[in-house]
Amino acid sequence: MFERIKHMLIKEFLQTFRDPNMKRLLIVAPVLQILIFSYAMASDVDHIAMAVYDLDQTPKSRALISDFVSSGYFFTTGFLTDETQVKETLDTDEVQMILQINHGFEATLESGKTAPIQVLLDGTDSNTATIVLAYAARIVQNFGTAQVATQTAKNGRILAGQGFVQT
Amino acid sequence: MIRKEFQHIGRDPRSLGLAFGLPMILLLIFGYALSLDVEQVPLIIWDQSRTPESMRLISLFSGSRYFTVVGGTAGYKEIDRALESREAMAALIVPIDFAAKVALGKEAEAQFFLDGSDANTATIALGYAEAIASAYSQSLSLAAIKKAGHRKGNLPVEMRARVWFNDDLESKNFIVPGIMAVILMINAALLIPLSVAREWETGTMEQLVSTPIKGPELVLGKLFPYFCIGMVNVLITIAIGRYVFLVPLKGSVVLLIAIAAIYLTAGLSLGILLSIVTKSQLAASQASLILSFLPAFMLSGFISPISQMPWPIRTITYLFPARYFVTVLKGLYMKGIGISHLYFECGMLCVYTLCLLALAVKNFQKKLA
Repeated sequence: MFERIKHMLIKEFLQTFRDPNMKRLLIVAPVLQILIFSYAMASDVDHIAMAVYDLDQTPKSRALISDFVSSGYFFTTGFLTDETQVKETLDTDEVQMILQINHGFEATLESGKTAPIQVLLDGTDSNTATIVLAYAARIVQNFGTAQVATQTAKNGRILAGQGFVQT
Repeated sequence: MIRKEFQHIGRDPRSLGLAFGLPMILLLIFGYALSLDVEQVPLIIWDQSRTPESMRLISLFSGSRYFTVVGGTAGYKEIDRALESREAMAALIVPIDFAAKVALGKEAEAQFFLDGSDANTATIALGYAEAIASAYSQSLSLAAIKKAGHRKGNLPVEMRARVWFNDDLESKNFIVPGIMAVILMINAALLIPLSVAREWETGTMEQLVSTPIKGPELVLGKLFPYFCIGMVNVLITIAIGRYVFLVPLKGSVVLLIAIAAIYLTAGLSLGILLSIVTKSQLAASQASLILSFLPAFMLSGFISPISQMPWPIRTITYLFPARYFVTVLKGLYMKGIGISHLYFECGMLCVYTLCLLALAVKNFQKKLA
């Protein structure tokens, strides 16, 4: 029985590899597919295009922006100068997020009140948006904690959750 | 020629089923199954601390709709077993000195384990866990600030997030329209190569050629019936998206149908070109699966965002029409933008279609000569 299967196998291989089209299809295609699709499907979100709309233009607002950039997740594509650009930028798919710091940010922060920060997200890809939102929230929170720490110069940081991914 | 093609399709109930049935099944399966929303991640908890502080942290997890507590344990072995048997996808360990550290105002740590075998789900679940941890630590800082009396109990900075185009961050709002790009490609990639290659294999192509019909006419005649089937599928997809999945279409329906028609023609031309080059049903359908269907799925920005791909891959995505069509679908369905923002994509689709059609006709004439 094995003898017959062996001959059958030889015939099948000969038949398959006689056709040069088939040979190409069978060898080149899987290699290319593995290379391209595995990189395409990698789901890490770590170069998020961000536009900055800084109406405050103070050392504190710049410090916050540089916290975003130095986190390694965000890069700035440009600085917006007026309101109409905000909609335009999100419409054209250029950025994933706009960081808007309103006028009076530093003053509010120093007076001890809560200083608001606006984050505008492109939600078309809901997954990416969820992840970006979590990154931004963490950066803003760390920034706030650091501000309190310098102001009270006392308690320092209090608690941070830590995550491990086990594969 | 067109009449002959329609008769062919009508005579073969299987290919008719393939033409209309397959897209419907795909739409329903993907629409329901490919939900990328992550909710109710099963979570297992090992609370070593057993203090009011640790209870509060845990209650934040169990109270959120993103996690469901499936049990408590006492030991790494049990956590390993639960993660391996897929009973739980995540594990939270609160160490024994948690409350003491919190009371001292030191950095207290909680360990969070995740099953990373599905990287996508894991990243999102990790994001939720981090959000919960930072909410907890924010409430602690707030209490500490109040106690210190320095800032009247105000948070220093507050982030106000607004999500545009998809307020509830629902993935179906994009998955359902995105499937149209895949369905049309299946239409084009599977049906037309089979039909053209069958003519070569059965030898009827020679008969067709001996009639007075010319090369371009023959290509167009082959194309048209499948174009009609594809357009019917476009309409059905729009209708199902609207009335079954309740996905809003913010942009213009007319523009959507027009661009879908161009994209469909691009796909059909690619299918014809491949079947002329390979001349066999098997090779043609394989090649078009690789060159049209899979890129429509993975390199179009449909499943994974193009902006997060490494640059060589990002460059490759420009070679496939699906990329442009998916951008159009996103823009029309979710952003509600018009042709003024989409002219680049439309232009590229037109160029693509014309080039492929010209190549198909040219190759066809060469094959006969």
